[in-house]
Amino acid sequence: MLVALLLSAGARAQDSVAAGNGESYWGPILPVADSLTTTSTTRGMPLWEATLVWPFRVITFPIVVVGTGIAAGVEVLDESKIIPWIAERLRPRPGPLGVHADFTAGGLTGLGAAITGEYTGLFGPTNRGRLAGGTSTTGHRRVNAGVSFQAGARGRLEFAAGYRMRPNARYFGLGPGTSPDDESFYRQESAWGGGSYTHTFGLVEATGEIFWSSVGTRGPPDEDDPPLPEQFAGSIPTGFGEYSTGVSVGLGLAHVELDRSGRATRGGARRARVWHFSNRDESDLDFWTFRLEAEQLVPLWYRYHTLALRGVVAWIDITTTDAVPFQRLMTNRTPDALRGFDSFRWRDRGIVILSAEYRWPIWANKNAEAIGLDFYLLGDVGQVFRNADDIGGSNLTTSIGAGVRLGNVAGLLARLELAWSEEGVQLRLQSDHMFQFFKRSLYHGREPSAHR
Amino acid sequence: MRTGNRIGVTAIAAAVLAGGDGPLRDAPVAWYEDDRRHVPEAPAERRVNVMRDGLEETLYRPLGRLVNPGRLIRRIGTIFGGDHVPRAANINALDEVPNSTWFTNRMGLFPMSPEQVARGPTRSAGPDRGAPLVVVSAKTEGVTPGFNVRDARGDVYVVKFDPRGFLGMTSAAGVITGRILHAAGYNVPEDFVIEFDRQDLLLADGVEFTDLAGVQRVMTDDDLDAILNAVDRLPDGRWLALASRFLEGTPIGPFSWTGRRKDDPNDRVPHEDRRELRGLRVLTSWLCHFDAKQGNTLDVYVEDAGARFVRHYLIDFASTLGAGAGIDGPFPTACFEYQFDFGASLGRVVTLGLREDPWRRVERPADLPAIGYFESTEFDPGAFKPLNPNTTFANVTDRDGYWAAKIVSAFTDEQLEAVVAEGRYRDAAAAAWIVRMLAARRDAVARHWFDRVPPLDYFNHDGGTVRFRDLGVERGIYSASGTRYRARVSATTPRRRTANETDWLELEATTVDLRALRPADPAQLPFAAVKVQVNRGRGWSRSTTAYMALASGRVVAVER
Repeated sequence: MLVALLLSAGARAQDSVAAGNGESYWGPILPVADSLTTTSTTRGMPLWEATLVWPFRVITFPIVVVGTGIAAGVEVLDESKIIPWIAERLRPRPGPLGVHADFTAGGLTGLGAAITGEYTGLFGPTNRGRLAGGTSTTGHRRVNAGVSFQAGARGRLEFAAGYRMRPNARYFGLGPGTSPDDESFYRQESAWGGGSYTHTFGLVEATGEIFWSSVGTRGPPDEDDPPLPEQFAGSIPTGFGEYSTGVSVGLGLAHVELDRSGRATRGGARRARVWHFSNRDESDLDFWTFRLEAEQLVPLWYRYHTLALRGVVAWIDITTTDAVPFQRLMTNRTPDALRGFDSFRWRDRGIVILSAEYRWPIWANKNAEAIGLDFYLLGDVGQVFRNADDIGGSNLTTSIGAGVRLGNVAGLLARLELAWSEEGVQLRLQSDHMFQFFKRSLYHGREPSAHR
Repeated sequence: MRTGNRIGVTAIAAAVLAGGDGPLRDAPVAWYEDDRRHVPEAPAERRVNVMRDGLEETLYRPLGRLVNPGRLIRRIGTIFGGDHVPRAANINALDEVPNSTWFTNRMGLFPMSPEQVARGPTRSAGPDRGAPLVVVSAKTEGVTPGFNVRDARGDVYVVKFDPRGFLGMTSAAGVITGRILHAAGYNVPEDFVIEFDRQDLLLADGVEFTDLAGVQRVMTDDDLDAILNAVDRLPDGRWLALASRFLEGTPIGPFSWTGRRKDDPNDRVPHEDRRELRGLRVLTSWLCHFDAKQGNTLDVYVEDAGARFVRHYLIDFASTLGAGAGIDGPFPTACFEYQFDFGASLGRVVTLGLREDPWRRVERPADLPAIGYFESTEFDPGAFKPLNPNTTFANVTDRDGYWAAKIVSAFTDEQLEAVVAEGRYRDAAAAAWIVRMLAARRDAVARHWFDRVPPLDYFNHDGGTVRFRDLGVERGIYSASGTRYRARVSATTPRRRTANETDWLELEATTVDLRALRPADPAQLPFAAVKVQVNRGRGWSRSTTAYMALASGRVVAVER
């Protein structure tokens, strides 16, 4: 009986606590029926605050209306499944067919967009086919296609072809000492096609390639002023107004120990390549191109804090008496960019560039491995040259800058960078790598008008 | 006082509830908010678009708070001891939150047994397994698949699974956190961890669902098998899941973290001014409940004692205790950063990446797969951030934080062990880890807020002696040795104008003798004010003042 009473009392105590009454630390709290109830209300703003806040509300009302409109628009787009539809098409999809969009802003191209589709099951699970095309507001056009086949356990055979039109390529003269005041424009059109075979020996890759290419130049559209023939009326460079057509045969050796992710943090790559170009046009042109590249990623104190270093030197050695058409000379453009300077700002038979980036993550979507933003500080040093003696001194250009990279372990989605040089400021939005040159094969759309 | 008198005292109580600085009255303290008045029609169902909500909470409202001139002035005022926002609007004279449709005082005011805490809101041991669970609906979209079942009693449960690769993690977290929040005082659903075989499930006839191709059709056993095959199983082939009982009443959508539900006449206080919602930030920091979005709340139109009104629930606690209910499972930035944390990102730019973020140092225990990113070393209660900024959480004042920390600190190790057992971890070491982290984080929470507001509380007046409690010492946050108290006493008018104030007097214990106080004019000075401070070796704290009615001996107000 006693036990039953105790249990009953215990149960009542439990029920009362669940209901928020009983013997509390403040003393007894009676059940609601026996207790005081109250009506909570909020108090208005004190006068001092109202005199500040109400004018503020009036002033910011238009902003609030616009903001509310945007938010409502987002809701409508989401509820009508438009945003999920777009997201579904942009996200990486499992299966053999992948499509992704590239974009660019700034530089010669202006505002541009491109679409790339890749099929990874072409006559076999390790074969790939790729088709890409892009356009821009300044009239740039490009299209390229390629196929890549597994050839034995360690070999890869690739074939590719492409076309590119630049209606507003720049020309400032030849050599490292040209003036920005001599800026002029011309139209450059190139087409190419060829194949390559790469054999892997552990970390070393040996590549042989052969391709046909043709690069023509002529005057720019009316809006790009001054045209090259006008600015350089007395010294029009060799090759202007003509197509330079020929066949290149190249050999390359690469030592690659780089993590091939979009957000590599360690490892490096070294590559040496040589091409021989022989004409297939009216000229008697025959020349060699040599190119040495090295890249190293140095992991720093925290994860994804990385120092990225890159160096490249390339030069042309002429074996005939004909001069190399200017459209086949070395010039500063992606990936051999001197950030802070216009693309095509310098041009000559050789180019040397050292680039460095210190990168660190500033945002990650929940997880360090997920999509995130890396901030980076950059510095470029480089120049074009005719002879080795030209390298150094006042011929060297320097630029510094900062940027953000949006990407994840699967790849780089975009980079936005601002670079300063003595010639001004360059803002670029791009979706390709400055570093990691393993994606610069013919298959990936490399334009070989100049051997790079 | 009977129900018939309740309305009559409401007006008085409204003044009493104004809390802290209203005129003193020798009247009972209000412990109930009058928000259960009959609402004949259910308020309209409220729908929240997650994307719009995220945009507003992440961008618009933080910007609004940043440039609001009133808030700026108040922010400056914090240098002089003020609050950055107006004080909570629903506190009573003792600086406590009255019981309401939002909150019921439990752990904060009453001793509770470990069994009570562990039992939480449950009225049974879970779904009645006397017969197969009948699948009455299913979902294939969303982060994890799941379905609804009806048990032998006729109760309907939502059955949710852990993300693949994290068996037992979110289901345990969901149950444990729900029980803890219930003990703290919030309304939560009845959640259970269940295990079942395939033969324990029966598909009802004509269940319609939308398949992965987006086609709506009648569900088959193959579809049910496909859902089950998409989740992990226990080693014995059984399934483990969280079953959440449907709430009684009519769901009318989530409540907002700002403003009021305009079509609910009982909803009078802007939610960002409700102390229990502000204080929830402290509990969510303790529990690492980062997914405290609107969508994880629910208003339900209920009938109780003959009246129909809206009751406000917190739901879905799977993303707590370091677990993550997303497809990728737990992630380390949870509770450290917003999903889009502009301030943190800017800070990393400015510091050139030379400062390591604390979340990068957080790791999951290697040998406990059921445990997510739940630790105590890097845990900073003041730095907690949910997935998205939250307007109400941004309004937490020190006093709101103290109020919630008082509840958190009341959980004993025994209570935590009992409640963690409800999570049914298969590895005892995992349960022990959660208990240990909860205890360590509890102490960190208490220390953080008790350092800001001295935990001198629960004043009682008996026979001319005022007794109070030092929750910091009682709950093991501070050492008793080296802790000193002092008090000064004065007679007070109802408008809190003091007279005959004594000098500070160091106390031998947490008691103050009022018998020496002899106001010359008791009619003009009918109250006594007892101002107490504590010194733990770092100087005297700010004051906590309790007001006593000399005539009745009643404690009528507390100021912090």
